[in-house]
Amino acid sequence: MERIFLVFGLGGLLLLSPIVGWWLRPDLPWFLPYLVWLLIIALIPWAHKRIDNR
Amino acid sequence: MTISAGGLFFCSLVYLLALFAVAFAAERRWLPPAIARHPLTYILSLGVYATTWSFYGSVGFAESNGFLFLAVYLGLTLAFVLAPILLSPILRLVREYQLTSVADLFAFRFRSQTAGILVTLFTLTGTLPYISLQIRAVTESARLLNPQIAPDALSFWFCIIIVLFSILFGTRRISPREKHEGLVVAIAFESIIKLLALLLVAGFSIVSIFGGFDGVQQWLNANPQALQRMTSQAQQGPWISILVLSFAAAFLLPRQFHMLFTENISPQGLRSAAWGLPLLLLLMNLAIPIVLWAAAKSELSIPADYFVIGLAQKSGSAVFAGFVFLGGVSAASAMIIVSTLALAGMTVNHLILPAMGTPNPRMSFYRWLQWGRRIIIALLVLAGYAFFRAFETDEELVQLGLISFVAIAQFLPGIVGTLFWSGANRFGFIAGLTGGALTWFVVLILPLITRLGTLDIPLPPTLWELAGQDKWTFSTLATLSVNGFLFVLFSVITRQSAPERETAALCAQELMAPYRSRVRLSSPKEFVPALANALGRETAEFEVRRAQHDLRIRDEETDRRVLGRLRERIERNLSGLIGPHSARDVVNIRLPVDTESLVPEAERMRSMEETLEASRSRLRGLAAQLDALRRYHRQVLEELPVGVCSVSPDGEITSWNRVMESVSGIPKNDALGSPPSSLKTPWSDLIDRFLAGTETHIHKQMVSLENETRWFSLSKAAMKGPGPDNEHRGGLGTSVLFHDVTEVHRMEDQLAHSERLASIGRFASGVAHEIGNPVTGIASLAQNLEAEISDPEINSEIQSILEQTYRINNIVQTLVNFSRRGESDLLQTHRFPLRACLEEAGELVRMSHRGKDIDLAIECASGVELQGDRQRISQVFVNILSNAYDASDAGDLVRIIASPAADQTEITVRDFGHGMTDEISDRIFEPFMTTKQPGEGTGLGMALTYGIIRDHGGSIEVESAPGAGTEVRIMFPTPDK
Repeated sequence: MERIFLVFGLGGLLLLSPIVGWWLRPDLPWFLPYLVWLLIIALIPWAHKRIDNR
Repeated sequence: MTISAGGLFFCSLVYLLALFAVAFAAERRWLPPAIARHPLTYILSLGVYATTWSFYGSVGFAESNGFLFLAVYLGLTLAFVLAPILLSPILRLVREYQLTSVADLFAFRFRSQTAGILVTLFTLTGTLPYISLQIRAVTESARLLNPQIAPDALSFWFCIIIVLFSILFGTRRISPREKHEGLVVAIAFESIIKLLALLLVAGFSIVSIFGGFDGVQQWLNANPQALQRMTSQAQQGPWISILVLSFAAAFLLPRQFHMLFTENISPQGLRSAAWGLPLLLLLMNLAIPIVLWAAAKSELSIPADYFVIGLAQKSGSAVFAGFVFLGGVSAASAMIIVSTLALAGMTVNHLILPAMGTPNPRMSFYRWLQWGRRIIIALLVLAGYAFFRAFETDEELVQLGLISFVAIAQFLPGIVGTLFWSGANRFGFIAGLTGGALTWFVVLILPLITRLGTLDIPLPPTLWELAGQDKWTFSTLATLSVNGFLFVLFSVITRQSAPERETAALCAQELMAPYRSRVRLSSPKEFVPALANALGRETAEFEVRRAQHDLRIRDEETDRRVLGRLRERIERNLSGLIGPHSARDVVNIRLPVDTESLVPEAERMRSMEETLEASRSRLRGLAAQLDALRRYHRQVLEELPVGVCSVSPDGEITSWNRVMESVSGIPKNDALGSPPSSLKTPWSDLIDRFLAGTETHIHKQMVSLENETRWFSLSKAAMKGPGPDNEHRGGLGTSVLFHDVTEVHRMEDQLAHSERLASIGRFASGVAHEIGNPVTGIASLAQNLEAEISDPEINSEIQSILEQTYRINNIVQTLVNFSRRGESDLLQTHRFPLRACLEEAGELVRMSHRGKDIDLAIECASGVELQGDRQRISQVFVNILSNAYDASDAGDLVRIIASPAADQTEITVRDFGHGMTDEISDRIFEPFMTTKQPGEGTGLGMALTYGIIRDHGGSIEVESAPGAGTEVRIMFPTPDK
């Protein structure tokens, strides 16, 4: 359960906080928002692993 | 480049026929079921989230709001991060209680028909513009490919085909337990088409318009304002509110709920979908900025919403443009099909059935439901078409979609209340939803209507303009705040009903199973006529049979507790057909319960235990300490070395500890909640009789089990309720303790036997003494006479007297030896080899039984030794072997096996002769006990044997059965090394 909250918190931090402005900048590669999204997706199986194993 | 109307029609027809073929192949199992049930198919079917909004509208959204279009999918990703605590509990409820829609879920949770009606009406209102948006997108894209095409005819026929498909593949089965595999595969197929079409347009843009990936970067370097606009617009846009709206839409939109939960084949699919669906949407959305920039470079002069089709058109390939058009058709058709299916179920269950009631019992209920749903599907699609015709608007596709999203987000407080707040109640939910819906209407719908109707006059400022906020932030915050506030307020100031409290606990996983009631009916057969009045005979029979089959309940079952489970299962199955509220009504009226015993004590106890077990990790502070105390007492009860069985005042077993499980062979789960009379024999009679009797203690009770007989000491005590609590005025029931005294009983038997032998020994000693003296006198007199008389005839008789006196002396001497047991100090002990002793005894017996061909097998290692009086131990073996030879027939085998161990050496003598009955073997060690003919034996051999063995500190056991031979086991202490 802790992992889920950790990943959700990380997602919230990246997507809901002023940090959005750090990765949503014109001087960075245009596909960076997709990489941020991919990072969250990649963490989902890890977050769910312990719950699935129960 | 244009495509002829005939070409477009042909293209659409072929595609939709292909869709029919795919669905048909899956339904008929021509496609392997493994494909239909594969997690990838499930993930692709969830791609129904991407409608024409995603396919066409995202580019327009990106054009006006930059990367904000990603928030529509990032919110969904966040919702799937929480899948185990948000989506899995909903899936559990949907599967366990056969719920088919979000309206079913809320009607079930809040035990309110009004909640179901409100949710259905609001979902219909929120979804109709969305359906019309799909029709509009297909029509507009077709008109871009051929401006001469008649939009009305195209959209109308599109709707007709969609209705046909939904009816054919979405309503084949009306129970949610039977999944529509054809529909799932078809929707997955549509997702593949959407994805391919978008990726092909992106590929075309990169290769043909930018000249490769480098070309994209070069164009961006040359036009930095393009990326600048994308990022700055996103940062300034309503990023958070779109995330919140898409978070809610991810699982609350009717189509999402339907594919995610109702059509879910395996809960494990959700595990893959949690990352699979966001990944699918990421792939689709990779194309959006490329398409936008390619359109900018190509200077397309069409609305940005249709850049995707515009670029395909620019390729000059009719096939490519036609395929991309089909991508849009697939996005629209999938949304309409699944949404109308979900809405049809909700409408029938929550609007039609409550208004009309169940149909005439003479009509087939299933057919009525099926056709009801089919008609509603047709009406909904046509209503979407009418909406499209009536409200021609220049709003962007995404704007209409977001209006629906705000509507659906109004279910968020209800979901939070369902899963996490068991104190939420139906008044709060209804008040919150009504407030949120009214706010939604005022903030978003009224301005839309005003704009449509008053184009020529200046529009009044909207509420968000007055508040100085953007439209989506204001509408999301305003609606959810009003909704949430009213939800909490009314939940706090009003009270839950008892049934609602129970369902709330079930939904929040504070209670694992509902309290079961006892039905008044006494067998499953009586269920059918009772239900037939509401459902018709055919349906009632089928539903009762199905529930019986699910629970494996026989027609002859009469246990009220089991019938209560059957009633509950019927309610759940009916809930899948007609919604939870109508199902509850039907069952409550037709299958009434015994109100005097609504909550049997056993069920209450079990529920409490289950709840505490399930909530263990959530308990804190005093609650956790109390639970630890409960566990300690439970453990003490479980580990007690006596069997404990408690019976509640209503006659059901409430506790059954580990010893009870082991001695009775009845698992705890089978015993708990059952009346003692339903246990297997002899336990049913034993417990029932003891509970009914006045005795509080039975010292020794024989219990004949399958393989053995055991003895128990039984005690019982009435359990008084804790304190002056009205709830337990009748006490908590009775506890019965079972103390296994079998070993004590056996020792007592052995002691009695030894005592009997000892008294016989004392008697024998006395007899020997009293007889020995006169016999010695007789022998002396006879010898005197023999010396004095020379008559050979008389001497011969005197010789006979002497022989008889010798015989009597032998007997007397044997009796003396028997009576001397325990005088071990008289023994001449030394170590000797056991094998030699056995062979010696064997040889003696063989000689005395010459002529009887018996095989004697001695299995004894040469190093085995015994400590004792060799002559007397040899006598033991001679006696036992003699009996074995006497009992055996010619050709039989007698085996001697010596097994030395650290403490004792066991010698087993086994014959396969006639054997003995239990009566004889019980008395075998008594003096003069013999089965031989008079004169063949004195009956003192085994008595003497017993005495010798006891004198050596050993023991002897005999096991025999008539016809099966005899086994004599002798144990001697193993001498020290």
